[in-house]
Amino acid sequence: MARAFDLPRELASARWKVKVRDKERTEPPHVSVLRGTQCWRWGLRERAFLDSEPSPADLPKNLVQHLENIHDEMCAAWNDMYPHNPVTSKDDEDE
Amino acid sequence: MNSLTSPIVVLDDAPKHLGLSSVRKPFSSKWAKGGGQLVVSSTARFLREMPTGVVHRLKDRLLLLSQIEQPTLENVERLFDAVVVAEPSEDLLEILSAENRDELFLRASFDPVANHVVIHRGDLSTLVVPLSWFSQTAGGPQPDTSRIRVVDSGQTLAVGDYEAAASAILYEFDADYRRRAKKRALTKDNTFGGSLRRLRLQKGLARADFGPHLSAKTVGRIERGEVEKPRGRTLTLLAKKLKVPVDALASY
Repeated sequence: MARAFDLPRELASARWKVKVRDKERTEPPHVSVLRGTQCWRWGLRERAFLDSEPSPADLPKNLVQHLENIHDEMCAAWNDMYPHNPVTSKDDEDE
Repeated sequence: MNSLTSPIVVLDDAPKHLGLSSVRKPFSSKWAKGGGQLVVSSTARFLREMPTGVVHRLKDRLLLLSQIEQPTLENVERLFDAVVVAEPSEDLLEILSAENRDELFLRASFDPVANHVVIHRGDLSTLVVPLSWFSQTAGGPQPDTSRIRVVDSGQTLAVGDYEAAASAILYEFDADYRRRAKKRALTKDNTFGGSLRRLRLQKGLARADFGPHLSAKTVGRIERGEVEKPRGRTLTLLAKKLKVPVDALASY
C-alpha cells in the first residue's frame, strides 16, 4: 500500500499530500509532494527538489521544513518499499 | 497529434452540475495559445444533429459526461479521433483545466482478455499498460483489477490498494514524456551509464542479473562511464535483459 505521510493540519487542509507509491520512478529515491494536478519530487539523497518544474519556490516554507523534519521516516518507508535501491546506497555494491 | 492543438468536444447534458459554462472562458484562453478550442454542447442535441452517410473522421476528441447506449456510442465513435466517457467531478474539471493534462489520467479500465490496463489521459489519448508491469513492492498489496480508478487529481492510478504514479507509467511507456522529464531534472546525468542505471533500477534488476554473458563488474563500469559506450552484442544483451529496444536504452 502506498505510504502517505501525516502533515500538519493547515497543510493537509490546503490539499497537500506527501507519498511514496507502490510504483514510482525508482531512481533517484524520492517522495512525491502532491497538490491538485501538480507534483514535486523531493530527493531523499539530495534533500532537495529534483526538478525545475513545477517550481520548488511554489511550496510553502513550512512544508519544506516538514519534509526535513520527517526525513528519516521517509527514508525508512522508501527503503522498505524499494529495498533494491535504498536511499543510503548510491552505488549498489552487487558486483 | 499535439494535445494542445487537438480540440476536445465536451458533451454535457447537465452543464450546471460541472459548472462548465463558468469555466469556458479560462479554457478558451488557455487553449487559444495552442490553437485549440473547447466546444461545450448537449449530448441530446448533438445526437439529433449527427451527420449520416459517409463521414470523414474528425481530428477532435470527444469527452462524454454521461453514459450512452453501446450502439449510439459506436455511432459516435465513427466521427471522432477518440471518445472517452467520464463521470463529471471536480477532479475532472481540474484535469481538463491543467496545462499538463496530457500527463494526467482521466480514467482507467481493465481488459481481462488481453490482461491490459487501459488508461485515458487528460488530452483523451489512450495508453495501454500490461498488468504484469504493476509489480508488487516489498510487503505491498497485489494489484486488484476489480477496483481500478484514478485518484490524486489524475496523478495516481489505484489498482485496488496498489497505487502507481502516473509519472512512473508515463516515464516507462511514453518516450515524449521521458524526454520532457529528463529536461526538467535539476540534476542531469545524461550519460549512457546514467540511463542504464536508471532503467536497471526501474526494472528492479541487480547488476549480477545480466550474467552469464555480462558480468556485474562490466555493467558497473558501463554505468560509471569507465568504459566507452558499449556497442553491438553488449548493447543487444543489455536491451534484451531490460526488455526495451536497443535504440531506446539511452532515453531513460
